[in-house]
Amino acid sequence: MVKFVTDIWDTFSTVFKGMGITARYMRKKPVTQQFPEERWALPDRFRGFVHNDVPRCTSCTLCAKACPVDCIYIEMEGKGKDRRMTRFAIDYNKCIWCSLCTEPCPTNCITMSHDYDHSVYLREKLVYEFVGDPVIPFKPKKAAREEEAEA
Amino acid sequence: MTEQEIYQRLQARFDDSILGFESDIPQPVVSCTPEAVGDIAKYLRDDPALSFDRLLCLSGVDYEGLDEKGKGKHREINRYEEDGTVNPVEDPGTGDLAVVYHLESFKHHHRLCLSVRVPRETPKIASVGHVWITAQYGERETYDFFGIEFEGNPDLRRLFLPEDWVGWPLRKDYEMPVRYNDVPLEGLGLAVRDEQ
Amino acid sequence: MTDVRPHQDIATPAGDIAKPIKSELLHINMGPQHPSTHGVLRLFITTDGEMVTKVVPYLGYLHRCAEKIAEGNTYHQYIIYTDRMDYLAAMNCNWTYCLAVENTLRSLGVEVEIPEYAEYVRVIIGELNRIASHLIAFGTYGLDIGAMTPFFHALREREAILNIFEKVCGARLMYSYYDVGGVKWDIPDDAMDEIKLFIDLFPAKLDEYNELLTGNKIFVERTANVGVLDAATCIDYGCTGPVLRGSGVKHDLRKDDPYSIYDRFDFDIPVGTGTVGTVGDCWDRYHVRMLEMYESWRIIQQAVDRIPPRGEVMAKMPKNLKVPPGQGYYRAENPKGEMGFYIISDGGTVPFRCKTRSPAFHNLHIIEHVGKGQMISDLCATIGSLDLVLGEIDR
Repeated sequence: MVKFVTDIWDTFSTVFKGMGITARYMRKKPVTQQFPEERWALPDRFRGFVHNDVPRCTSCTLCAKACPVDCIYIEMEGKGKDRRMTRFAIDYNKCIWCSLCTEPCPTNCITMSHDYDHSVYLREKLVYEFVGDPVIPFKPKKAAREEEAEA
Repeated sequence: MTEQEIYQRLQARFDDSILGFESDIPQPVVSCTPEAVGDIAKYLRDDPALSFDRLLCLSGVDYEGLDEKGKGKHREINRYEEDGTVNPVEDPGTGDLAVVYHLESFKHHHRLCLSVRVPRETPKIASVGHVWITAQYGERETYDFFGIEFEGNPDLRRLFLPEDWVGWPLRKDYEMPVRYNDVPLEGLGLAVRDEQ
Repeated sequence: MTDVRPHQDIATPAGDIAKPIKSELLHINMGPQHPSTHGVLRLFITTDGEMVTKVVPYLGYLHRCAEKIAEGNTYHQYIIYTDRMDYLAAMNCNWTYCLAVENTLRSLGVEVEIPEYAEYVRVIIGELNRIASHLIAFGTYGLDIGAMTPFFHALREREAILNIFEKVCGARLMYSYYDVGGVKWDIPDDAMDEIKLFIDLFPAKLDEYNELLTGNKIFVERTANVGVLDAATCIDYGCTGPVLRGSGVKHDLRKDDPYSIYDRFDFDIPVGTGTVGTVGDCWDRYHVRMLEMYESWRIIQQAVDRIPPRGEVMAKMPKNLKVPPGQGYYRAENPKGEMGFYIISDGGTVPFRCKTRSPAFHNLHIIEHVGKGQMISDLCATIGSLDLVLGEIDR
């Protein structure tokens, strides 16, 4: 009988203790955000969609080699002076935002941007093509020389 | 007890079944025959001076492509055609499979690595599931990936893969089938321009 | 599917209603989409009335064959796959893997000197992730039992930790922050301030959790004396972590086999004592996690106090990491238990074999033993107390 009463007392007292905590929080401001309207400030190191700055890309394919899921596609044409980059594509279906591609880049042209909401209806649209017409790959030494000449 | 002493103890007890001892590596390895591993496991657990009561890790290894010095060597593997037929190479590999047991004792805080090599054609080994129950799942996993049969395991089925999966994925000569139950297993091909 | 048999070899209620009744065995699939199976675990259970007579787990719904992937990726590239094993404690998985590679390198004669600052960063971040993982365990366990409120409280604090991680490494779940030879970045000042703020606020929150759930009579009635595991069975089934400690075995690799710089910190190993029931019941396992959060908080506090000024975060490692031929099994204490990597190297840039010993995989096995003779609702409580993560079980 005593146990029965203490059990009931325990149950009610502990439940109301928990209720008390909830009541305390009722008067506080919510910690949640209304997402699409309110957005939180992204930290500097945030790893969003990978972006490639094509004019500075040397098309060295180091990023494609570093990628663990092989989501970077680089295609080239010609040899020597006629070398053209015909394709630089990133398949965001596969990309896992690990930032391993940004580490070996010699010109730091491939970076993790702060974009994160690129929803599309078709998976095909997540293959981003960065190169339209074939471009001449960036040559750091030549660019430096030209810069010097200009100065 | 050091690994050297454990090895001597085991050799005194199981004479022929103990095949060797690699002592010049950081985590010494005792190797034994596949038939005797059940008895050796029981002895390792029950002997009061050893009392290996924990099986830390049971792993299967395919030594195909690894030479005696432990260096890798290049080797051709079987290729599958589009319609699923195998295109075998001349030397499909003869390397041994192995099961490696990492043991630890709570009481004496010593560890042991027990390695058992089994032939590739008839991979059969005695089960240790009755000694350490945790081995039952490890053996199922190893069977799933390597096709090593553990004789005496009460429930030797595939653990992760579907029952009707063909092949042993973690063997070095395994090639991913093109389709499984009419479902293509190759990549989606979204980023390949030629297909568009 | 059903076979008829007399009601005899399972527990029957006492009194007049105890007389044998004709009952049928019923086979039920629990999962793979069941709210209390914490992922895609499928349990094939045989029930007699409401009593469970047999539990058979079916795995593989999240199987990616990470071990095969390891054989095709370099040592660096595989780090990101360890993220996806225990996704609630990805930092610790990264750490264990990096530790295994570093130790393998060291044992084979390659010098790997991790900078002091990086070691402290590793401990702080790793322990923060341990707290985050235990918070999820605590919150979802309340959810399994039927208490909704603790989940929101737990996630609020976890959010604070994730914000810190986002500032440190830029991701909220898949960090790949640890690298072979150190960590990738230092802790920025604003993140350090947040860690200090978290240290100040956390004990009060922990008290709140205890008030909310730990002492709650309904919760105690649901978990005490349920799913009792004795120490010998736990060891036999290879259980580690809070499951083993909940059964009263004082085993923690941070103390027993210290790695990194854990020998410099002062902390205790909480074990189950059977305060409200038997040693090794669900409540004990739950309570061990609560106490562990406090111990982790202590470690973080000490580490933040002693952390050296900001310096190098990476050891001098070759760009193309090659491991000499050899092998090694190395392990570390993860939130779920003992995680280990067995690495065989053939001298190349790619592991020859990389076997993962995942703690939840071994902890899951015991459900076959403990599930017998329980009610279905108690089985839910037991699964929750084991704190399974399917990403790690299926790998």
